[in-house]
Amino acid sequence: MRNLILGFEVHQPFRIRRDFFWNPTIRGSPLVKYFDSKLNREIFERVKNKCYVPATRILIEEIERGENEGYDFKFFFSISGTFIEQAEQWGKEVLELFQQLAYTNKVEFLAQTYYHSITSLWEDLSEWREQVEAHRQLVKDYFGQEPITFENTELLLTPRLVKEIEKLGFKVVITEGKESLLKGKSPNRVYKIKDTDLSLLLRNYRLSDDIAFRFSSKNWDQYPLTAEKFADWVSWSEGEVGLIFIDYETFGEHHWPESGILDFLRWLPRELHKRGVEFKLPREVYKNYYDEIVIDSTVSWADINKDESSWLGNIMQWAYDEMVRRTEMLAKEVGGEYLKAWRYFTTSDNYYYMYVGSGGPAEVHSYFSSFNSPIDAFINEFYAITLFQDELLKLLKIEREPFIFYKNGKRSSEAWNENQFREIINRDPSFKEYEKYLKEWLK
Amino acid sequence: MKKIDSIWMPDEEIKKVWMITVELDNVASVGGLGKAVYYMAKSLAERGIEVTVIMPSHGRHLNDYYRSALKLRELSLTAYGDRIGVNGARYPYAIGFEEGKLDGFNVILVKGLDYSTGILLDSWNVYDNIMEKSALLARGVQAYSIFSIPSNIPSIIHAHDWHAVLAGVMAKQTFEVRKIIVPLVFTIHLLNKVGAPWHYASEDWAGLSNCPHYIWQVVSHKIYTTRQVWDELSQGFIEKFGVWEADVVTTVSKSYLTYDIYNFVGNWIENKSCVTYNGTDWSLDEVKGYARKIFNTEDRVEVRRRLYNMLETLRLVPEDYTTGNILWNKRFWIGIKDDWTYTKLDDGPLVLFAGRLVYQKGVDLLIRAFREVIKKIPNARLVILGIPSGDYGLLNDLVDKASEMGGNVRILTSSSMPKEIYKLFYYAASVFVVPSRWEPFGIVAIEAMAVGTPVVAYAVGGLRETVIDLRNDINNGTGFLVEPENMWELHRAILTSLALSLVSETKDKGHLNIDDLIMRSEDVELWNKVRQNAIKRVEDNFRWSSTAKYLLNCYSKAYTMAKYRALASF
Repeated sequence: MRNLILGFEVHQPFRIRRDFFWNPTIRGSPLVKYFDSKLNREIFERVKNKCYVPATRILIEEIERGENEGYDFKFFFSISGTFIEQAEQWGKEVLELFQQLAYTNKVEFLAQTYYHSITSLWEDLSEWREQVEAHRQLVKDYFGQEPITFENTELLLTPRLVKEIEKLGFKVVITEGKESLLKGKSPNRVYKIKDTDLSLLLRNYRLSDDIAFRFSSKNWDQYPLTAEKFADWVSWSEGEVGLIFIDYETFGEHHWPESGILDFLRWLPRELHKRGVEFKLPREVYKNYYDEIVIDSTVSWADINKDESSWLGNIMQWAYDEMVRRTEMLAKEVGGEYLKAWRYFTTSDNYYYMYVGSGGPAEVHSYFSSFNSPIDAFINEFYAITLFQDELLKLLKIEREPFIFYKNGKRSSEAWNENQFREIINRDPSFKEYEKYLKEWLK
Repeated sequence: MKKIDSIWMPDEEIKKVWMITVELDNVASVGGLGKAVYYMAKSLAERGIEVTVIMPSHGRHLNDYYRSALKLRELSLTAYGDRIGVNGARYPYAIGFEEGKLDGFNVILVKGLDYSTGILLDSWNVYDNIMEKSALLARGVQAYSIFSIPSNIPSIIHAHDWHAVLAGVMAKQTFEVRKIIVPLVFTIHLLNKVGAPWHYASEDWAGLSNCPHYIWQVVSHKIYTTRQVWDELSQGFIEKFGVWEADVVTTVSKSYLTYDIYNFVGNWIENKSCVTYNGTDWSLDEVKGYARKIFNTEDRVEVRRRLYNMLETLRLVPEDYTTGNILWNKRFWIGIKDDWTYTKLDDGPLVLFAGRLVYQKGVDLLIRAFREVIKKIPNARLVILGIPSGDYGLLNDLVDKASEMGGNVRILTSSSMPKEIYKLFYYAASVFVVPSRWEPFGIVAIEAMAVGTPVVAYAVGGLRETVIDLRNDINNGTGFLVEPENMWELHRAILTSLALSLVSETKDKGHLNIDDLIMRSEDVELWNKVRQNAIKRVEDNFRWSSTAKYLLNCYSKAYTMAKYRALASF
């Protein structure tokens, strides 16, 4: 293919204290009590030194090289709000480098959920919308761009989400080019989602994972992967425009610098240019849709199933999620740091650590996890959110069971008092019919 | 002949040229290669050069029509021998030659004399057994070269595409081992990247000796054996081998040379390469003659209306069964009637495509761009003069998309369309579109321009050199060049072309009041000027007579390089 979109996911979560159950902390602000700032800082600083700073410097240098040699090296970033918060605290220089990238006009910054959350899977999408809007503002504040390209957390996309994304004013959305979605079509072109004006770009997961997962695997028959070889593969691929989208941490953290990954990054633009492959941004190609495509089931980039089961696939994750939703209205009523803390709980990583599986996917989850096992993660995380709930109930002096709203047979928002109840009905009028139970519940 | 120390070289003036090819128009031809070779030979002959085209017979000598058309006579020359397979077994061959005349030049047909040779060399389809045809052609050329010494030695050996590489190198080698240096020119019309092990080229099979000889290496000639050139320098790729062995490499456009050939063989060939554009014999006078004869008018708009109406009676059955089947199944939606005539199109500006229906040609991108065009110019028409080429997935997709706009699109895929009507579609078109994903030269673009039809093309390969973008040169522009594979931009360029053509047709600038145009103009005659620019551009640059001129320059460059080669041993 002649055109390539290259993109990087940049995200760091606020991890819940990994020994919270065994050594509970009950003093201090909720942001300190429940979240492991020492660990978060350690990880951030490590990744900063190994990846964020050196890799970004390379990108800047290669943009300059391209300018000197007469070609455009372009790419996009999707940066979570929690990452920006951590960078503000522990790595200003990373933000400055990113801002330097923004000045080149060769980098597109995508919109995602501020907290890199999986709130898009909830029945009630109010919180998701708020997080998207908050992120859009963040991109504007930091990089001066108004995103028209949306990347939902972990490339999650569901049929009903499509309409919502369109309503928020986005022009193009990115998701995984998985076979059950493509049904024989090529991932390497622009599509339009049927019955919308929303364009769709599909991640070529084979090419992406060659870099993200297989790069330093000595058992791989293509090891070692050179920029030359990879550029050949790209130029030999069919289709008009391919999308390679990987975690930024791939460059120096997932694969250590010793693996040669940073040299790979440095040489890739030149090798692609040599083969006549041009770099494109999502905002430049979205009008060029080739065919229509139907989103008829949940898509994500995770594991083998490539659906929502990596975050909401077992009873531990369901229980944790129930608690997150149960504390939503409480945290919103108290506000301030409590609301911030609650939103940290919504971050997908905290769900991801509780994934139970075997083989390759489980190895990946365990690599990313700060806990010893999914069960260990559950014990500590569930205990943390439980104490968090207790704290909020005490603050609000609530001594009543929650009212649980149902929608389409699924549990949705939960209210603890009349105000919260009304607020839920207010933001989602389809719950109006529940009003008749209000009196009875309040008794 | 002149003597340099102990070595002989032909005289510097080009007198005799051998063209080695597997395709030649009017003998055996399926694509652009045969056409290019034919016109090169013809226009060189017109300049008084004695041209001999050497090619496999493909069984043409067995056919009465060709026997008399070419005035064939058998040469008293044969080549017998054994080839040794990788299995050690011997495979005898028996080769004969027919000599004939075609439009001022000689044709040598290399034929089989026995069953096992004939079944390979004389299969009617040009590309059947092509590897074997190519190897046996080399054996034939070896015998013919020896036969030509001393009185008939060519000034230049000119091999066309990979199929002729072994034979071309064979001729060069046959002379060289006899201390006669003849320049070898290798033209790449289309890269195929075919490879084979050394055995294929060797004395055991195609017949090349593994002898040391001089090969140009960036700044000087160095000694390599043939096998070293094959294995080490060329990694078994036949075209690379041809490039190393040739004194000069030519190709059909500068872009093709720079982006495709360099990428494949390396840009070290820069100082021994040159470009020879293709030409066309299409002319405005010819097509105007057809217009007068058939429609009694020269007016392009009137011709267009008449062609649209003529669809009602134009009976064109696709020769290709599967193609017919795919079209037939959707005939109600794409304007095909039960007797294989077509529903007429109401008048509207015409977008024309002509070419093979394959991925390379990008007709899938065009139909999508056209879908956007009719949102703004609802009476725009698209006619696809397609040559089915086995890509039925693409055809299905095309028919699918076309059936959503049956009032605007017609797909005509029969080779039985009268030549006059075919060319009149070009003449009547508001714009001709070449949406190729890649294109070494793109002859359709200059054919359209020759009859005064502006071209919108993706900026790939030769199209970047034939089409001048109106935005860059308002005085000489011949159309628009668009970022490759970009459907949105293609739609904008077509839209602009149609709008400008409508302004020229009606003298009403109101046609420019639409969004997404890539340029606007106050000049109501602009599109007519573009038509004139197109005609002039072809006259000045893309006639076969110009090709012959370029070619002679390349030949003299080859002569110089060969002289260095001759001197390398001193």
